[in-house]
Order: sequence, then C-alpha cells, then structure tokens
Amino acid sequence: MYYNFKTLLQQRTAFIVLFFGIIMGYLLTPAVAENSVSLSATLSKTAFPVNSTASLNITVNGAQSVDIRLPEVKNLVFHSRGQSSRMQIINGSYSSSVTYSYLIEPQKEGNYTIPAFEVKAQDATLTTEPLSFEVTAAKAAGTPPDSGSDQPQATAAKDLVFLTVSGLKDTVYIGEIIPVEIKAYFRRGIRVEIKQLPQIIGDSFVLSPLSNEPEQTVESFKGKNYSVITWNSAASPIKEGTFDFAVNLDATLHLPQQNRTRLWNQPFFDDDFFNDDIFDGLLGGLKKERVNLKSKGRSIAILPIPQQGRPQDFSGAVGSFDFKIKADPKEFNLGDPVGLTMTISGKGNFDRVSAPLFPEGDEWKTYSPTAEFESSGSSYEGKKIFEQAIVAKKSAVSAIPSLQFSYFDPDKKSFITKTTSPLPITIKDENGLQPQQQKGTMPLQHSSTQASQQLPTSQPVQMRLETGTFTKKIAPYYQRLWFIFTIILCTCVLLGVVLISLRRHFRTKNEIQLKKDRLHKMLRSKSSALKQAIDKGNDKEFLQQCREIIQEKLAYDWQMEPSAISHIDLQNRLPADSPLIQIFSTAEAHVYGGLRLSPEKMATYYNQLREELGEKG
Amino acid sequence: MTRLTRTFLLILTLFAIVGGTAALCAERHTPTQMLQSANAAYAAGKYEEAIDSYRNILAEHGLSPEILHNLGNSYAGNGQYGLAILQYLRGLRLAPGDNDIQADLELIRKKNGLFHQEKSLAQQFFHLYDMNQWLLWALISYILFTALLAINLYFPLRRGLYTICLLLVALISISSLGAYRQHNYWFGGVIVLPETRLLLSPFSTSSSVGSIEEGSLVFSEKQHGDYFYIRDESGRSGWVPTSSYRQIGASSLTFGQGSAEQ
Repeated sequence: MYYNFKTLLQQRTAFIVLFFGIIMGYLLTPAVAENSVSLSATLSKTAFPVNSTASLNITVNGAQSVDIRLPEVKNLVFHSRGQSSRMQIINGSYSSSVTYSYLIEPQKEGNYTIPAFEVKAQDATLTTEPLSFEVTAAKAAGTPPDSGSDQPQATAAKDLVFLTVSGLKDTVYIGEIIPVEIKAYFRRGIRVEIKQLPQIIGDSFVLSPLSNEPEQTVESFKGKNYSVITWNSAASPIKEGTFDFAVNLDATLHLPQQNRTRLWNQPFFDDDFFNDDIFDGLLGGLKKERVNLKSKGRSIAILPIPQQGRPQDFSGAVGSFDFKIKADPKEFNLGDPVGLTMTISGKGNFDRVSAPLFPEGDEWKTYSPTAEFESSGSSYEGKKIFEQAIVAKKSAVSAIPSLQFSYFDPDKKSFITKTTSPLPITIKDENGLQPQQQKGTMPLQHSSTQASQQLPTSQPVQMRLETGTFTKKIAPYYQRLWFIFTIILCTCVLLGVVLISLRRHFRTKNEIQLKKDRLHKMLRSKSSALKQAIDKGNDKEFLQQCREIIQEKLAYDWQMEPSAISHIDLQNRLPADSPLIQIFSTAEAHVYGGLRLSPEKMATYYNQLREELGEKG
Repeated sequence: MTRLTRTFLLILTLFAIVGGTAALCAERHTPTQMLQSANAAYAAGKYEEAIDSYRNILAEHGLSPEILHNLGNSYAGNGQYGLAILQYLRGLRLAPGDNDIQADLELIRKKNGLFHQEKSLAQQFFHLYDMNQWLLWALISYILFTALLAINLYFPLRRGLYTICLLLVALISISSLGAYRQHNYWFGGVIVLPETRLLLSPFSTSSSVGSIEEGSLVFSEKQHGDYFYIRDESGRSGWVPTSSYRQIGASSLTFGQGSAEQ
C-alpha cells in the first residue's frame, strides 16, 4: 500500500484550517449567551437513617464561580464533595453551570430543615428554598449502602482506560484521615474528556477536595504507554461498618474507527508520530463512548471511636497532634488583655479540632477564640492556631492555668491528652491595690454568660461638670451652612481672580497690538510725507520727518517716550555704523546749524531709512 | 373706693401672686442645674436615674460632647457597654480632640475585648483625624489659597508664590482624600445589644453565621424591614435586627422620654 505523504500533509493542513475556521466562525458569531443566573438546591433523600448520609447539590446556571455560605444547623455536619462544571454551546447559545456537592452527616435523629441561604454568583445574590428532611433511627451496621451514584453504566474500554486507588488500609476508625492516591490511566493517543473530578462511591467515606490541576505523567503498563493523571487526597470514614471503598470517574472517550484499527495493526505505524488525532479525521471517523471508570473496590472495616476512656474534652479529633501555648504579653497591668495563642500541629482531621477549653473560674475572663489553619501541603497536615483574648480579674493571679487537648490516635488505638504546664505571668498593679467593685453596680439585664459579667473598673470615671456648647445635630461639616457658604465664597473669589487676570492679560495684549498698529500707520504716513518733501526739495521738512520717524520707531522698540530719545541714546544703543545715527545727527545739525541737504542726499537717506526701519520691523 | 371694689382688687392681687409663683416654679431648670442633679445621681450609683437625667438635658437643650460623655459613663456604670461606646463616639464627632472621651472609650473597649483591626500605614495616617477635621484642613487651605491669589492680583507676591500655592493645593488634595476615606467611619454604627447574632437572611428564623460583640463598630450597607445588613471592621457581614444597631452620626437623634435610645 502506497501512501503519498505529501498529499496527506496537504490534506492535513487543509483539514486543520477548515476545522479551526468552522470553530472560530462559530465562536465569533454573536452567540446568544445565557446571561440569566438561576439556582437550584436539591437533596438526594428526604428520609435516611442517622448512621447514613444524604447529598446536597447546589447548581448555579449561568455562572462559573459562586460563593456559598452554608447555614449552621444544629446536629448536622456538612462535608464538601467538590464541584463540577459544565459548559455547552447549542445552536449558538452558550451556557454554563456549576454544581457544588455536599454530604450531610446527621448527629441525631429528628426532623431537620436547611433554611434558605444566600448564594452569590457573579453580580447576583440568589436565595435557595428551605429543604426539609427526616433522620430516622440507625439501621444495623454493615447494611449495604446506597450506591449513591447514578452514573451511567457504559461499556468500558478495559485496556484503554482504568482507575486505581492506593494507600488504603483494612481497618480504620471513624474520622481517621487516610491519605490516598487516585490514578486515572488513559492509553496514549486516545482523546478523553473529563467533566468531573473522581468521586467516592457510596456515603461511608468523604474525600477532601481534589485539585483541578492534578499531576500528569506518562507511565508504561504492560508494555503500553499511558497518560496518567494523579490526584493526592485524603479520605475519611464517617460511619461504622464494613464497606467497600471505590472511586469512580466519568469520562468520554473518542475512539477511532476502522482505518485506525487497520493502522494499529501495522507495527510501522505503532509510533507516537502516528498517534495524532488528525489522522483519525483524515483516515476515519471517531466514535464517542461514555465510560464510568471505577476502581477496584476494597473492603474496609470502619470502627467507632471507643467510648471507654474517652476524655471529657474530646471533640472528635483523630490523628497525631502536638499542643503548645504561648501568651503575649507576660507582664501586664490588671485588666489588660493577654493574647493566648494555642497551636495544635500534626496530622489528622483538623476540621474536628476545636480550641481547648480555658478552665472556668473567677480569676480569668475569656473571649471567643479565633481559628486559623496553616497547611503544610495537604488538608490533613499542618497546624491550627487559636487566638484567644483573656483578662486577669485578680492581681493575685500568677500563671495561666494548664490547658488540655485530647485526641484519638488510630495507630496507638488510644486516647491521648496533651497538657500544657501553667504559664507564669506577672500582673503589675500601679497602685498596689486590689481593684474595687463599682458602688451600686446594677445587675446585668441582658446576659448571664461568663463573657458578659461586668469587670470592676480600675480607675474612677471622670464626670464632666460643665454642659459645654449645645448643638442641634451631629452633622458633617459639608452639610453645614457656614461651610457651604465659605466654599461658595472662596470659589467666587477664585473665579473673580481668574477673570480679572484674564482681562488684564487680554488688555495688555490689545494695548501692545494697538501700539504696533499705530506705529505702522504713522510710518506709512510719514513715508509718504518724506516722499513729498523729496519731491518738493524741502530738506527741512524731510529731515524733520526723518527725525520724528526715528524717534517714534525707537521709542516703540525701547519702550520710551519719543521726545526723550536723543542723539546720545542712539549712539549708546545702536551700532556705531548705523545710518540712523547719521540721519538723526544731520537732522539735528540742520535744526541747530542750518545744514542744507541735496535731493540726492535726501533720496539716499530715504532709502537708508527704509532699509533700517524695514529690517527692524 | 367701695369696700367691694377693695375686696375684689385684693383677691385679684392674691391670684396674681399665686399664679406668678406657680409660673416661676414651673420654669425649666437651667442646663447646669440639670447637669448637677444628673451628676449627683451618678455619684450615688443611681445609673438609670443619671441616664434619664442626661437624656433629658439632651432632649431639651441639644447635643453637647460633655453631656454625651457623662451619658456614656452612666451607661458604662449600668453595664450597657454598647450604648456607652455609642455616646462616646458621638461625643467625639462633636469634639474630635477631646482626650477624656477618647481615654474612656479606649478603656471600655479594652475591658470588653474590642480590639482595633491592624491598620496599614495609609489607614493610620488618615485615622489621625476624623472626617470633619480633614474637611476643616481642606477649607483652611482653600481659603489661604484663594486669599493668596487675590492679594497677588493687586500686590504681586512673586517670590515663592508658586511654591506656596502648590503646597496648598497638595494640602487640599490630601485633606479631601482624608475626608473621603473617613466618610465611611463617620456614618458607621455600633452594636448596642449583647449576644447579637449575625444572620444569613433578614428574618428572625434565619440561621446565623456567627455573633458580633456588643460595642463593635460596624457599617450598615442596606436595610430590609427590621434588619440592617452590616459589615464589621474585619469584613464579616450579616443581618442584624434594627434594635441592635445604632448609627453614630444620624442626622436627627431623639433622646426624649419614651423614645427608644437613638
């Protein structure tokens, strides 16, 4: 069989151009986008036993990112199971939706209602409907769980794709963190679409949120190359019994048709170069097959946390932890708050780690602690830091009492209680006196909790003995008449200043222009007078006019009075060889000495004058 | 004059005397007298009586930082720390530089674990003054700027005028920016009831997302029915009943008898 590779290449290029052209045209065509955002929240079950779970799915259409704040409901614990997104273009219409899944774990039987809560999607805030359900008595342990999965069961291409899970144990405790590695293998060259992250089958385990950017590698398995996607996560059992642990993943495979198969059988073509999707389009069609990958189930026995020996302060923490505290400052005045930092570090289910209880007593006042988790790479490893403000009520207090933190260690199969040593502190009392209770303190009207008890004052309150100046209301200055009036006044003054400045500027400009025009007019008239004088041979008139012209012109240039310009000024300010000096001197000599001028001389002077004054503008 | 007429005049005079005395007795006490009486009640530990007295002064004569300070102290003595902080903050609105009010406010905040959020350098700078003080700076700079230009028109001040004007313009800009940044704080409010829950939705059966301390400084963004949507200094937000929230700088405050504390 002979293949014309040049033709193939040309066809490939043509196909690529055509393919992308169609796609771009489709996308660039004004598409009717689904702008409206809608919300739906659904429960998978309306009744289930207390040792089971139900799923809460919140779907937002028309948005890709949302902000959900689930309400607090007593005796219900919500576990996030991740999210899935979907985008589609149908007949030019683009729509997108995102679904957030939560597993609801009840703590007690009863009727529950998840109240309406807000979901923020893009610029819209939507509210769900209340969801009611019933939690019934526990069923016997080991009851086969609901599949929890309504994934379509399609034919799986066994050699092309498969799913594995590693890191499991045969026996675990409720709440224990099990680091798992989920790997999805895809035969190299097969085009795959994955629309959803892997999910646990059943409701006995919860998985910590998986990354949307998992690790991608290439591995060889049974002599074939596979693209491998790896998610590292942590699973945690939530109900006791023996259950299968398995993970599933929905995917769509684009399998090649006959030509591909024919090619596949030729060893020459079993090369990565020919594993290009383009050849599928060129040499044959693609068949879409939706598959539900499922890992091999592994039976795991989930044991309950023992009741015997359970410490009173145990809150459900399972793992291996360390507990430290510090206080800042260690020297302070009576009544000053102290920042108590409690750090619990290690591995385990940090979401069940709560702040150690500060022992109750009449020596300390405590406030609600804040919590912050710092991960060291995973959701089950790191440290949880609790900051709590405490205030000493008595100056005799010399130490922050011991604090305890209890947890269950699944490896040691026992409860561990970590206790801190009392932390010495120093209370500085300025007056050396015990604080006094305020006289006649009225009993509190609103609360009976420890946090609301009134503290004794440490210093007398200064009362004002004068009434001061009364005012009608608390208003910002910009709402007060005097402020507004002052602003308006200053603005008017400013405008006035600007207008006056502009007027002056234009007037000066006009004056300069007027002067210039006047000068030009004068020069023109004097020029014609000079000509007439030359024609008449009137040297007296001629020289008189010359003198006046020179005085007027230089007065304009030098910003002087014309009559103030004398021969000396010309000699000082003009070049020595300037004809104007000679003409001016001749004119003065004629006035005082009766000098005569010939018509030729007059004509020469006329031309020189014109040249000089013409150059000077 | 007949006997009857004399009798009639006598009776009339008696009425005038009695009526005048009654009128004199009914005359309102001066603010100073009312203040003394209120302070005496406070000193005797009768905080509720002192609160009523101070509120009467405010209702009759208007607001003053001194009376608001004393009212705050009375609320503090009565264990109502939220209302105490509210009055202190109102007093500071009227007299931003009043160190006594500032000191008592810090004391009560410290006692109740109400710590200020850490502020950036810019925030610390703009918090040096409140909005009114920044506006005053801007106004003074504007007046000087205008006056300089006006004087320069007839008495040219060439030397340094340009630099001074630039400085004044910079001062106006910074002060205006400061006033703008402090605008939110001016119209903030205080949570005045203990154990106030932050609700997800504006109705009583809504679930909560946490609690907010009495005396916390919050900012109201919107209102729905009997609920305000507020945000605290750390950014937490939620709905609180209107009864729990009081605005600091309201355009009208009523302190009269029978009115809910505002």
